[in-house]
Amino acid sequence: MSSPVRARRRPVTDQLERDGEWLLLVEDRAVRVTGLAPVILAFTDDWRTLDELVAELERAFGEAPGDNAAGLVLQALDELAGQDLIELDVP
Amino acid sequence: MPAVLPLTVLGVPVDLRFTGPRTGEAYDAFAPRWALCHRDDGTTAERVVTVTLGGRDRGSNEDGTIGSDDLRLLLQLATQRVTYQAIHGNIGSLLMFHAAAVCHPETGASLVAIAPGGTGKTTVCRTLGRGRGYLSDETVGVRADNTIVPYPKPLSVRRTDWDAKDETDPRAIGLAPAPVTPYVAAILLLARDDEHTGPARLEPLDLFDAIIGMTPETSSLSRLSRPLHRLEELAAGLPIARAHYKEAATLEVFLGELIGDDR
Repeated sequence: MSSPVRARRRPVTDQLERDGEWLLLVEDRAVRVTGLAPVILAFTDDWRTLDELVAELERAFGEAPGDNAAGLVLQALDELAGQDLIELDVP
Repeated sequence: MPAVLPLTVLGVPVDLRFTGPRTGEAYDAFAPRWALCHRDDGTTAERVVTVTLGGRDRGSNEDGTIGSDDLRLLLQLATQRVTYQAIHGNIGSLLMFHAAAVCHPETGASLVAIAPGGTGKTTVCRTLGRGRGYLSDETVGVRADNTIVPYPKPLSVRRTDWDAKDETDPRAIGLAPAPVTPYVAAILLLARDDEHTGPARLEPLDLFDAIIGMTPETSSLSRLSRPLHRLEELAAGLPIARAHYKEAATLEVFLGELIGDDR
């Protein structure tokens, strides 16, 4: 059953990219993101469903170990939301 | 006795205007302390900080006036207000750090020592500044070409026996203005620690860690165009490190490598 969760990145003041890592300026705070996060942020220029995100990340990184890809993506989304980098739509 | 002290602070004209019953006394106290920022072009500044020693106007007021019966406190309040004007006048143009800076007196190569308030900037200037150019103990403004706009304000010396900081004439402790145009040659993020033992240690930082360390100690960074790219341009090719130390004098050994050791 697909999840109704959707995500969209928030605007930032500026960003740098280097070696697969991003540095984002949120107001006057610089935040470094690594791992899944740069791919998630690159993909969420508009609202994306959890299923779409999982598919995009599996294209980038291959299938997630175990059977918890959606859980890993949700965890990453929560962390990004906590840093004000992404907004979540959780009906 | 003049009632106005014309200053240039971070390139911005600001007039200190004195009022009240003790104007002469106030002027005599302020003039030497601000001598390195004196402006002598005969103009009147749009930005004014009105200072009242004695009388009824007290405290730091929204209309830009400050007043006190306590000269020490008034000196401190005025420094804060003038610095605010300096920063406000450069929003969107200069890259500004909460930092101290000193430069090589012949080349202008400058050490920028970034730190939050109360964590060692003034001490770095007092300790490392003699024989070098004194640029600021509080706010360092960097132009797009990485040259520095000096702000040789009174040093704000913390004293355990005073409630206010001791606003000190830089010349009284052997500091002199930069004789050449200074530029950023090295950046240290100060991490003074009373528990630190042994010699000072410099921890090199990669670009992102350097920017993450610098960002909290900037002023109005997001008002610059592409601010992270601006920091990246500044950092490119520069030595940037976090300095772990207890006594500022132990940083002296690094200055030869960072900005040249003639002094």
